[in-house]
Amino acid sequence: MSNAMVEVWSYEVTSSVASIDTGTILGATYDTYYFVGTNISLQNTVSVRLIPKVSGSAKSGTFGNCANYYQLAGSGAWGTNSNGSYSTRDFITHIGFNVLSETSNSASNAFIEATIMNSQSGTHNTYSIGNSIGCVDTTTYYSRHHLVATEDNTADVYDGFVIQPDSGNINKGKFKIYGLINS
Amino acid sequence: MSRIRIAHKNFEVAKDANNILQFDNVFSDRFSAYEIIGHNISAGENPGTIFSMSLIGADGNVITTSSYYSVQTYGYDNVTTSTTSVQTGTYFRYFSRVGEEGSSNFQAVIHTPYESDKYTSFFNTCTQEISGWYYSFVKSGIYQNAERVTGFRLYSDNLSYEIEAGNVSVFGIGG
Repeated sequence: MSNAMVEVWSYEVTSSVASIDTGTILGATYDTYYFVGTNISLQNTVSVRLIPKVSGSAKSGTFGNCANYYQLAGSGAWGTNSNGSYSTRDFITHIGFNVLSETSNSASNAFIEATIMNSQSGTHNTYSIGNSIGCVDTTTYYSRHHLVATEDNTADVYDGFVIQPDSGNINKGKFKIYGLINS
Repeated sequence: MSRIRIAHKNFEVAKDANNILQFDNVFSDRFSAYEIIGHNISAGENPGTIFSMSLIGADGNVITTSSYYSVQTYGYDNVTTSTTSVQTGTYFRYFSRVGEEGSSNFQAVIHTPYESDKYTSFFNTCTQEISGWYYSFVKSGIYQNAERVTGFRLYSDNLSYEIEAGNVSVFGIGG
């Protein structure tokens, strides 16, 4: 039995970048891809988007039907971002909402994972289910566990991604994408 | 390589107060994140036992600094949900939960434990049967002190009750 997950792309941020373009690394070999980012530090206190690429270019406009919830290590209650303004977005998943910047707190960082399904179908939509955890502050909410489920409401076939903060740079982080063997 | 199993324990704990399951030296600079999977876990005397976590420091000792923050949300009986406000303490009180005989399972991610300049955070989804109800918990938290963590300890936070048996594995993610 070979490994069920095959690495198709890897990138480590060692000096600050505004965005990361994976190139055209997705293909029909796999129906499902697993994206993971570890030890991510940001210049600003923002979210980071995973924007799909089609025919070599990043998608634009609002195509992502996004349902997202978070759990704060503070109130404990579930919350949603901005009263549903995240219902339609331009990303397939994101690192949840205002991870405390490395500038504000050098020990702050974030983790993200997402399973992306059906991105190679030209007849069915793409779906993503993801988790992230990051530092929020040191006095009230401490950490935020974010769960994001997204539908791309088109049948576009993806060939890559752009990883991009809402503003500022990614100072640090290791990103990988794996293909899950079909059978 | 996608993920590597680093450690596994198939355990049975004797009926005394020493119901600790400890994983030493499982974290390293090889990975920044780890998946911890537990299954078929039992607590015979109290099916609702809290399954807590303490972190092990670089010196091999349990870290007892009061910088652990954890929360939980859960649902059961199809309609009932509840949340618990943050627990601040000297361990992650809300890491997981143990139910009736062999019914408890969890899947957790722990992030940057080994990085001495970063906080250590986790999230966990766990399921179990307690007193005839099927529960689903989501728990998360952060150890907000930048220091190296090399392992962890799982235990009931009420030593009058025991975690009796089960399986726990640790995998490196994304290295």
